[in-house]
Amino acid sequence: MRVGKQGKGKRFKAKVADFFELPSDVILDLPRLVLTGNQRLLIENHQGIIEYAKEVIRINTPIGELRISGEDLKIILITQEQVSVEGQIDKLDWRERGEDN
Amino acid sequence: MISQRIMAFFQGYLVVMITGYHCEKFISLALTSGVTFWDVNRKTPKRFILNLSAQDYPILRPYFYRTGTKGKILRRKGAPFLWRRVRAKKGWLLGMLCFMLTINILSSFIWFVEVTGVQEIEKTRILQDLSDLGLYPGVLRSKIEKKRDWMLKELRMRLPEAVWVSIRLKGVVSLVTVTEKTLPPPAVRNDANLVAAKDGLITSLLVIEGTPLVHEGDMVSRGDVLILGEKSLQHLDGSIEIKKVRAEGKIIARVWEEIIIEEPLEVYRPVITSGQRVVYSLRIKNRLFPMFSRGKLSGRFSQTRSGKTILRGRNRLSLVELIKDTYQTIDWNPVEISPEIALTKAKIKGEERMAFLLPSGLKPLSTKEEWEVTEGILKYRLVVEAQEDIAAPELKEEKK
Repeated sequence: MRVGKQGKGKRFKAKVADFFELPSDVILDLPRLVLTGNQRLLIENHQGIIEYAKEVIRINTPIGELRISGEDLKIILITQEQVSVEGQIDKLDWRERGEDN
Repeated sequence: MISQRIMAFFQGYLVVMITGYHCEKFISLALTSGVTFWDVNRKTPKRFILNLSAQDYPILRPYFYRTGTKGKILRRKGAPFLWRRVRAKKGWLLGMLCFMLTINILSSFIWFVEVTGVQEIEKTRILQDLSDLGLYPGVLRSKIEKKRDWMLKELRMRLPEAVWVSIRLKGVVSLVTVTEKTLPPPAVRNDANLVAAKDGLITSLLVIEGTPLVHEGDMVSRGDVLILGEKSLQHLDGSIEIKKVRAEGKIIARVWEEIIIEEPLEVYRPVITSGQRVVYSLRIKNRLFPMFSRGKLSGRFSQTRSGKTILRGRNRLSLVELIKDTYQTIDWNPVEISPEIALTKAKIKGEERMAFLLPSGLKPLSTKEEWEVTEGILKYRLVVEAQEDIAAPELKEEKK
């Protein structure tokens, strides 16, 4: 499966961003993930949470659904722009919107 | 993150419990309105507990309705709510204020004065000095802070034994640190008199510094002050100043040295006789083991020792040696000495002693010698007259 399948317009934007050395997350409206070890994950440019449990957190993003798996996961801060997750993060994977768990 | 928490504390925040099937949807919708949540906990599948700013809570009402969830405020936290609670308990507030005020007043005084770093100087003396200068238990801190520099200057003047003094205020404690000087040995006094080293008749004097107390032709005894270590200076206004100086000068005087030597005309000399005893011993390291001996002794004897090294060893302690001690009996026999030989011996001794008494290179002005024989002893008397500098610095006892 391919997450965030790019159309012609997006490919062009990506090339332009690459050529002018512009931040692609801004130009292409991509989420930005900062993972600190396996303890903390900061996600910028999200679109809300879909599921929240101690073992799994599902977060909606412009390019699909981000699934965070682990233990004792906890949202320590959530704003319109960013989500900060703490806990033992074991796995991150991307899914298409509406795809089954 | 920390700044967000601090802001939330000052603005006031709520701990809210969300109940329903669509809590995640509720949060997502609330986020679109710019609401911030933190410490989001899912207690059960239907129940979330989270924190949010107090002023954001009214915004959430439509979302509760749209998602079918319910919200319940569990706790109100932060400065505004705390202030509201405190304001309601006036007695408690008054007590707290009194307590704070008491602590503040009490901490503005110095209650302890500690002196450190002293070994020779007595602490009680320093504490007394500090008390005189205004630093004592119960004094206001602000007073000390204002005059600390002056106090340090004064204290340094009062403690000449200290090389460095500091006063630090730590809360209600004043810490006084004193570093003592290592004092140099007492300085040698510059003023000193010149005194006579010998009895003599002064023939000439040369004064370079100081005031002479003797004149030519004076007879002086040993220890008399010849030149006083003082100098009088007359100022233009007529006043006279007495200045202490180190006396310098030469006092030439005729001195007489007398030596009496007694030489016996009969002496006893040892003569070895036939009696002999030989003892052989073994020395191992520093211990002596007698082995065998032969012969017998009686009366006075003399001893001679000879040794033969058996094992030299690496050092003196590992030495092994065979020692032979020979003891020989002796008799003391009288021997007559002629007066001429005795006189020659006495003259040689007299010259040796005179060379010791007179300064080197000094030629005597005149020499007088006489001798006589009484009861088997020759008495030789030598009198030498010389001219020499008899001035010597006066030795003064050090005053502690």
